[in-house]
Amino acid sequence: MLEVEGLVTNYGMIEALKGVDISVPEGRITCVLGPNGAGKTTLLMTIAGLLRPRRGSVTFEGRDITGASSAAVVRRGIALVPENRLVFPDMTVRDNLVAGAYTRLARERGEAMADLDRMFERFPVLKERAALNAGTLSGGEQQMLAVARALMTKPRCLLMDEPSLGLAPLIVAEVFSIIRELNEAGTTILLVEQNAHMALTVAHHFFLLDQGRVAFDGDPGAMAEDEVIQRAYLGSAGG
Amino acid sequence: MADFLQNCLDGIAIGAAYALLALGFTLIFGVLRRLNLSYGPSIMAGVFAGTAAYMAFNAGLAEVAIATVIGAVVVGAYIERLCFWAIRKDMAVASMVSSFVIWMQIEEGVTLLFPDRTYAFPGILADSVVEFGPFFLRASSLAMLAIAALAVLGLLALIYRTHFGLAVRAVSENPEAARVAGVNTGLVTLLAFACASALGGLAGFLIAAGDQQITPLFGLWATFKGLIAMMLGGMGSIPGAVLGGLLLGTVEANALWYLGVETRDLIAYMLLFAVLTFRPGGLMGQAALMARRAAESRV
Ligand SMILES: Nc1ncnc2c1ncn2[C@@H]1O[C@H](COP(=O)(O)OP(=O)(O)OP(=O)(O)O)[C@@H](O)[C@H]1O
Ligand SMILES: [Mg+2]
Repeated sequence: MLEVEGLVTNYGMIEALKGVDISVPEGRITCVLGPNGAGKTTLLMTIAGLLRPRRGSVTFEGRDITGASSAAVVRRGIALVPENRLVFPDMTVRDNLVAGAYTRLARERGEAMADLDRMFERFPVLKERAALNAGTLSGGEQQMLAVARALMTKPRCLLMDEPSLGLAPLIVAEVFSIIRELNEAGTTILLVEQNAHMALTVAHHFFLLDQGRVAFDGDPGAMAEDEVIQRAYLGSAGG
Repeated sequence: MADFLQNCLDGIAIGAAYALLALGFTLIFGVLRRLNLSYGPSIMAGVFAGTAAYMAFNAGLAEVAIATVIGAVVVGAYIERLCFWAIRKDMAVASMVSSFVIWMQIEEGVTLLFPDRTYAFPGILADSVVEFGPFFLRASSLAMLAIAALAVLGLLALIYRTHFGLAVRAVSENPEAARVAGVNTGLVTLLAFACASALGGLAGFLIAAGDQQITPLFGLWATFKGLIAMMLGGMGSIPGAVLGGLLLGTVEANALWYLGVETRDLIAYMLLFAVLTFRPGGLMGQAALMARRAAESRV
């Protein structure tokens, strides 16, 4: 569904991605693991049109979207749940969600508003807080909001950047059950995680990114057996 | 006491114009987080477009107003493309300095086209006065107040009731998150700039119509007053811009009456200094500043 080939992305002179090939099959949860600074966020931001790649290509549902604007990528059906949430702190929870549907407001406003109600049903905590400013929410609630805001674009493919970062274990479990539920409802997911144990419980396929390159590519079974990954991510200490 | 109230009335009338100028500044600062020093000169250019229409075609008030607004919007868009779109977002100082350079360019350009010191501008309801018991107000001031109030309500409706306004707020709060949500931030910024210039053009028209004459120095004056009023209220705050404008107007009017014209501007600067010392975020910006800090510490 989503094919990334030979992707190179720079920050000035620094090459953060040095030729990345990743394939995300439809209906699956694909997970990208990797140490800090490996280029995981850079990869997602390049796919989402927030960064322009220097070389390589991104293909979505057979169409070339390399270098497309973020607005165009959203319209094609890809949504990003960014690292550190990035909600609009001084806007109400409701307005945050409506802003998520921005690309749809002109043409399918009614449908977008129906989705808003559906979102409130699925995330009751957001309904309770609908009129509050998003900046007053707890970290976990902000993460729910970031996920719900991305869903408001009605994506067929969801990119999630470390959704468990900084959350309490109970909330992490909730986030992962939402990921599984979304996937079962048909959304393709590309998940970036450092929490390999949790990722193992949901993902169908793994990539390991290291210093801007893919260092491993395999299914969960192969990953659990890989020695390097064993030591770095699934160490007996429990990670 | 009667003097004081009369001064406040006069102050509110001119303060309404300051508020419009501050609103334009705050809208631009809100979406860009960068200062546009050339805001006043773009309005000045618009006012000269109005004068040109008046002199060349003997245009009526409405046409002059439209010419003024269009002139301000066109020059505003020119500034946006040059100083803000073409310059990297993280280079706020480069943008500010280049907006200063463009200021000089606009002033030179206008002076070349209009070499005299002052030019005539058509007045609104010139010379007539409205009385409220012991108090009175020039009819042109009253018109200014009414039009400014309508413009503020219109702006609030635009920002809080429309899709475009939602996008403007999203870009102001977090441009990256706005892009994630699929907002075309470049277009929204240009349009917000155009709205700010249109507001400025309206303010310029009202002020020039009150004075019935203009000079190229109007640009400096407009940047000064708008900037001070915005800083008083809080950068990026819409209610702050209105409050800052009205406060500056009333303080100036009273300083002028009680202390004289030499002291008037001094008092205005001291007021700004006091506000910035005790409430660095401005009168209305402080709460937003604190809320944002608290929110950031929670993430
Ligand atoms: N805005 C930036 N300017 C310059 N260099 C950057 C920028 N953002 C990231 N980098 C560099 O690019 C490389 C990849 O960063 P990236 O954020 O993609 O890593 P990551 O895998 O997401 O890390 P983390 O797990 O910490 O989120 C790092 O070396 C980082 O220092
Ligand atoms: Mg990252």
